[in-house]
Amino acid sequence: MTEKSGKSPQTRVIFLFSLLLLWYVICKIEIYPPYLLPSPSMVLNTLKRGFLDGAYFPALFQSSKRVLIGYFTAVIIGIILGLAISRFKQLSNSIGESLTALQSIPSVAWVPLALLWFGISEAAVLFIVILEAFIPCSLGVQNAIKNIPPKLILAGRSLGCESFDLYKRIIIPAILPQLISSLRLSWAFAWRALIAGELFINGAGLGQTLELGRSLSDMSEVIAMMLIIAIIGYVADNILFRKLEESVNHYS
Amino acid sequence: MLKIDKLNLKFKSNGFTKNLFNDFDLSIDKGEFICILGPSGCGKSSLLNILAGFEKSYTGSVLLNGEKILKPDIKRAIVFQDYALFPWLNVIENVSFGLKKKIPNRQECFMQAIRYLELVDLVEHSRARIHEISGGMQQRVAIARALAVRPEILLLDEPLGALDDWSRRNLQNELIKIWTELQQTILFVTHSVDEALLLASRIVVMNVNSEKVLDLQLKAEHPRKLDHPESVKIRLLIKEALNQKLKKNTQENPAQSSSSDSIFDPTI
Repeated sequence: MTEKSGKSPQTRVIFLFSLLLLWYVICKIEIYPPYLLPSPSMVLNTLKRGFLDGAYFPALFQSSKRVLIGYFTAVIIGIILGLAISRFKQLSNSIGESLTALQSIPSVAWVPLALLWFGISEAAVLFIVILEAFIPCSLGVQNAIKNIPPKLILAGRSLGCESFDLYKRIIIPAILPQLISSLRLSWAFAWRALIAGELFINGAGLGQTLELGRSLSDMSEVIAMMLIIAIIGYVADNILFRKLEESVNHYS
Repeated sequence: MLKIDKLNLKFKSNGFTKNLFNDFDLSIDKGEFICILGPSGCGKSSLLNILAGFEKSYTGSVLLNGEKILKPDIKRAIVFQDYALFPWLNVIENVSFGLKKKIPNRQECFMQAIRYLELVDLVEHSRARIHEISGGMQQRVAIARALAVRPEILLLDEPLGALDDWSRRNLQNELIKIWTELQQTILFVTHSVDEALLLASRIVVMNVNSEKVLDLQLKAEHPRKLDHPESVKIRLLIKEALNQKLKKNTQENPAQSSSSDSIFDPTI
């Protein structure tokens, strides 16, 4: 709580403003020509045009749809797998350990295979998103279960909780705060994987628009897309997930 | 009510096996407040785990009202030294945790829980979160939670070990109150001789080899004083019983005796 009150909105505004100013100055003294580094006003114009003539909305819609489908599928797979791995020793010795190795492969590395297996399609992007996003979730669940004080489980069992009840009334509530943190991490992974995947497929999407900007040498389009990606990522992470984390914190 | 016959437990730790209990016998009657007293490693916690139903790999017979103990059950509620309250629930939700199955109606469930919160003097904190209340209060919540399911026997695993003196004294009185008002059968594990002398209606002393070396009834009225003739006499008996063992131990294995618990200390 103290941390929150310590953050003043002024500091943020000043910081953002200085960043913009720096960008503006660099453009003004033309370290890079405008076709390499467009000025803030050029990017703003591109954004305005994109939203006003509606060109960005299909991209936003398609990307959101993809990331939501991919993310929720990944979360469900991740949680179930995490619970299963924690429950069965054989699983933890086999799948459990290889997950960490899998996590170190960046999403872009999967693109060639995904395109071969699923074609230049939506499915390829979903595959990459799911593959990226289920791992932090699954590892988070395993870790959280490992950290439950054993006495809590014993207390629950001696108060009449066994098997399913034990999960419903002890294990799930006990891991919830850590689970939300994992969901947050999974979201960040999903969002990055989405953009990476979209660079390589056709149709509408933020990644495709960015890639289009690149092939037309329209850097203000590229930067406009990067800004949108960053803002959506920020809003989800810092507003949605932070609220969620606070609401399940056992000690707040 | 509780009958332990020829109990043995193979206890594995760090690769070596230790044989605990060696045909341990104990029977407890309804309404007793029995203290199991002994140094660390004497197996008193293992005994509690068996009675709670967490440890089922023992041999021999452990019966509660003729029923073999093989899994946890609300007939045998346990209170741990570190409370083990559920931090995601508030005080009254913790206390009513074990009642949910018996009483599906939330309101009735809470009504029942309130009665036990009254017993431990915590009604005004019923909506508090666990981390907002002191250690002593948390332990009272844990005791109320265990009592609320109306167990046949209440198992206490050094429940006052983590508390400051003041809270400890408070809770000792609380336990006496619970014992007399509810006629609750209580099995209390501790390594504090004082605590056993102040509370118990019966003291069973175990030594490091998990053998029963003493089994005594205490008759003095509560609240007790430690300088009561009975307390003084029993303290002496406990000291003798354990010192005897200590001497034998020193002869057999001098290294082991140095690690022995404060219970052997003649100053207590």
